[in-house]
Formats: sequence, C-alpha cells, structure tokens
Amino acid sequence: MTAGVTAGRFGRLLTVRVRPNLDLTLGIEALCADHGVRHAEVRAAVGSLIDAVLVTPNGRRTIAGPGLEIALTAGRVAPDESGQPRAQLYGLVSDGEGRPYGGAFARGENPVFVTLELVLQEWLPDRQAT
Amino acid sequence: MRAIRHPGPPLEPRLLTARSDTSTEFAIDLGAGADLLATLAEALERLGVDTAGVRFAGGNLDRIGFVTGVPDPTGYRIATHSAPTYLDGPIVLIGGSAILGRESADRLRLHCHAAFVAADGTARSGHLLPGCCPVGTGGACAFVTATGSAQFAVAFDPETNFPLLQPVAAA
Repeated sequence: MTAGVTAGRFGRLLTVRVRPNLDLTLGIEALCADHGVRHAEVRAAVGSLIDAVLVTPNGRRTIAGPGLEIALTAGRVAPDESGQPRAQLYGLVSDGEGRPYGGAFARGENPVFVTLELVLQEWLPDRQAT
Repeated sequence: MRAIRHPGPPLEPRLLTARSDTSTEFAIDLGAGADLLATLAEALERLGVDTAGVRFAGGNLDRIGFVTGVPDPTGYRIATHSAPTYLDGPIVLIGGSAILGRESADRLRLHCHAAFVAADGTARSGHLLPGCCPVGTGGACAFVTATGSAQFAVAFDPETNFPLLQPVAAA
C-alpha cells in the first residue's frame, strides 16, 4: 500500500468565468497554461453545461441537455508528461427534473451552457515526502 | 460536443479572469433556524467579505427551495429557471458550491448549486434559493475562500442576456 505525500501551500488565486461552448476541462487547462500555473485545486465551481459526458464504473454516460446544472465539482490540475497542465475533474450534474448524475468529466466533452463561475487556486508543492 | 447559439453575438475573450496573490479561509457553522444562504451571506458581509468561493461540507435542512434550468419560452434567453420546487424536510445536504459576489452597492449575490437527499430518500440537486433553505437540527457547515483582490461582481452579459457574476480586479 502506498501513499504519495506532498507538503505544500496554496499560491495565487484566480476568479474565472468560462463563456458558453468552451469545454470545462480544456478551459481550466488553458487558463492554467496562460497563467503559468502547474498545480491547482478547484476551490468552488457553479455553472451549467449544454450536455455532459461522465466517466463512470459502467463506462461513459452521456446526459443530454441543454441546461444541466453543475451541482458539485472537485478536481485538480497537475502537469502531464510534457509539462502541460492537465485537469482531472469529478462531480455531479442535474437535469431539468433535479435528477443528479455523477462521475468524472470526460475531457473535451462538457461544453459550458450559460456560464461557469470558478475559483481556482494554485498549489505549490514544497517537496515530496514518503 | 455540440455548441449552442445564444441570442447575442459571441464575445471575447472566452475565459475571463482576475488574479489575487492572497486569499483568506473561513469555516462557517450555521445553526438550526439559520437560512443556509442568506445567513451565510450576512455573516460574510459582517466579516467584510463580499467575494468568495464556498464549499458546503454537508448538513441538515428543515426545508429546501430550488430551481433547475429549462428552455426560455420567450426566446429572450436560451434558458431560464424553472418554477421553484419546495420540499419539506428532513433534508440531508450532501454538498455543493457557491460563488459570492457583489450585485450592487447594497446587495450581494450568492449563486449556489448543491446536491441533497430529500425526505423520501431520493437524491436531488439544483440551484438553491436564498431565504428558502432553513437549517435543521445538527446544523450545516461551509468552508469559504475569500478571494482577495480577485473579485466577482454581477454584470449584464449581452451574449446570453443574463446578469452574471464575472471576475473583476479590485481597484
């Protein structure tokens, strides 16, 4: 059993609005690239999606909108093998009846509907402990 | 991935942002009888916080009022909010997020989406309504990140025809 422990602290904070039709995950990655943010955590996110594609234990699930509300979002940004920021986001969306659907947001397949309001904060790792 | 055409012309940039080098954290415990959103906003305003990201860490509600997104029959916007749904408790708040920003000189907006379990055991989620979510026995908790000089304020968005919370740098 292993656990990777990284000490660190929060750094710069970004308040963000993502306009319609931009993918949730790609938008966050572009934002981090623009600001030179390598690691980050989603501190709060409220908004809506046109449609949602969620990765679940039973495979990919598509929830047709438009107008799915993002009820919960958790996630992080970390550099990929080439050093580019990659976001991994998880959460719940709800349909027009208030029914929730959960999973991991599929990269490039979750376009913003009206708006996404986001607080993203840089994470500055100090060192890697055991 | 499909795209939607809103009533107004697409505006640039597609990503709006403001940056702060500082932030402040608060934990807010809301007791029975408080309103989940209104009492939280009042408490933050008393602390001098008018812009923040909020994470609800669960709790209990005696009642809940919420809306969802539905097509706008007038065509003025691509979508609007449904008629409110009100459910009597006990309600278990699982979690949620909110964005706090200034709507006008004397008014804050707390935009909250959350997930909860209704009294019949059904999981639901939606856009919670301020003044309609009284906290029940056992309370509720919110962790708040005050966003320093990177703020949110409401501005009319001519692309979507909504007044929306948008990033703005403090003067």
